[in-house]
Amino acid sequence: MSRSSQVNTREHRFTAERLCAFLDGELSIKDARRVDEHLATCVECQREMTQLRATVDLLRRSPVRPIPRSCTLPPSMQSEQARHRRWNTAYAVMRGGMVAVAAMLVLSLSVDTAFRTGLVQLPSEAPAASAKDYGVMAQQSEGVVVTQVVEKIVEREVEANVETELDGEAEGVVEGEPIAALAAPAAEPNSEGEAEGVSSLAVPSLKQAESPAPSDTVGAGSPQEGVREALPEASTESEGGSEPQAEALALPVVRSEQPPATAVAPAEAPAQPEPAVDVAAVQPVSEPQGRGAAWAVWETARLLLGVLVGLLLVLAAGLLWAGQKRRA
Amino acid sequence: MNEQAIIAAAQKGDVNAYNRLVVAYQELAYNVAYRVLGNSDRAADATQDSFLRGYKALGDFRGGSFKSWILRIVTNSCYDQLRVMRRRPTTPIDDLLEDDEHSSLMEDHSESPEDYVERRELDGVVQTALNTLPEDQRIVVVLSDIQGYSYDEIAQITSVSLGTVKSRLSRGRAKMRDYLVAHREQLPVSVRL
Repeated sequence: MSRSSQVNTREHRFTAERLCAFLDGELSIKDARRVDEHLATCVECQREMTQLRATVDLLRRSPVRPIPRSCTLPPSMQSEQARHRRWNTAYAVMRGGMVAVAAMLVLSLSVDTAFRTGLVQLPSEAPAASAKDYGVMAQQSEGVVVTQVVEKIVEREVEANVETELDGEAEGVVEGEPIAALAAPAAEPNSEGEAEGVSSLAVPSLKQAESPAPSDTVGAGSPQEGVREALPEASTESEGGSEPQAEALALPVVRSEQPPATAVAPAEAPAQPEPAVDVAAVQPVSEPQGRGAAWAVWETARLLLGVLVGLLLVLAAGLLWAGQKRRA
Repeated sequence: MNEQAIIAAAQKGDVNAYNRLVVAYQELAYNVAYRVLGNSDRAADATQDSFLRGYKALGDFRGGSFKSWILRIVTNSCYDQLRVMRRRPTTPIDDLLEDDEHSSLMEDHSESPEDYVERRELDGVVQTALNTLPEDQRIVVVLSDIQGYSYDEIAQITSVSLGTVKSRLSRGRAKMRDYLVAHREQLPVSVRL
């Protein structure tokens, strides 16, 4: 093949590919000149060009068809659209809320996990608490609450005893009677009623009693000893039946500052209805010293987790509802 | 009231303002849909659906050419209709009656009977030729050669690149030319290739 025919073939292909754009004036000046030069010499391309132009002319002459029916919207569409927009907005708000809550949930989970694994240790006065310490702290808080409840029961019983004694003296009661009357209640701590009540309160601290108590948080003496001092009847009068109760009452922190004499008082308490102990009235447990900031953040993260999960569920339900309304 | 003011009123939910836009563009939209779908009823449905969608989505309209925007919705509706037609390739009874029913609408009392017959022949041949094209090429040929849009506008309406528009139009036109040359005897004498 000669050089001139090769050039001609290349130009022919170039022009054939661009005839359409050339016809519409969509080629660059340089390409348009090149196509124009080839068209002047190539009969085949001239014919194609003529046919393409005729095709476009014919299509441009194709008749316009009148629309068979009007597409205008009824006036009722206005209120429907307003309703649709309201649901659209509600849907968007729900969706945004879900995204925000999900992000906060992830953040809270991260904070919680970071504290649990000990990745994050906030600066504090005392050495930062390790992950193990946080577990102990949680158990301690439960144990301290139980101890306080027990203390409150003991205090109320002592008060009741004092009042009863005073009443007995004033009314001239025989000395033997209160003792006999008090004999039954003295044994009662060993009976199932109260023992169960106490042990049920002390259930969270069972694990704590089994595990060695941290020395820095527990006061003087072992927890078992502290409880035995506070509740002698429960631990000493019946060795066999009350052993599990004594164990159950083995609390990590005993804040009883009552002297042993007052601790005996429950045995003398009359068989009167047990005064209800308001657990909520118990003072909140203060966190261990030096862990204030870390403790607060961790507790807040845990609280936030629950709230966020609830909120997420509510938003998911709302999203489904708004989505259905929007589609309707 | 200019078009921008009408669009602004329609965006606030004024259905009467939107209907003014519908009246202005419904024939254009219908003709595009008809040439793409090749069926007057389906084209009318697609047009109606497009204006309904347009009203609901008017909040998303961020200025520019309303005509291009509504034609984009029309082409999308056409694609939807074509999908339905592929799934259920049946010929509605209306199609068989279409010519008789629709011919009265095409009547123009100012033209002669010969012109009317010629126009109908041309309409039929053009539509048959268009129906032989693949959907993508058909839409581009309709927008370019029947409606007279530029390449840029077609790229906007069909949401494809300029290069794609050029190649689709080039192939589509070549097929149209081949068909019209092969069936030149069906064309009116005045427009034969």
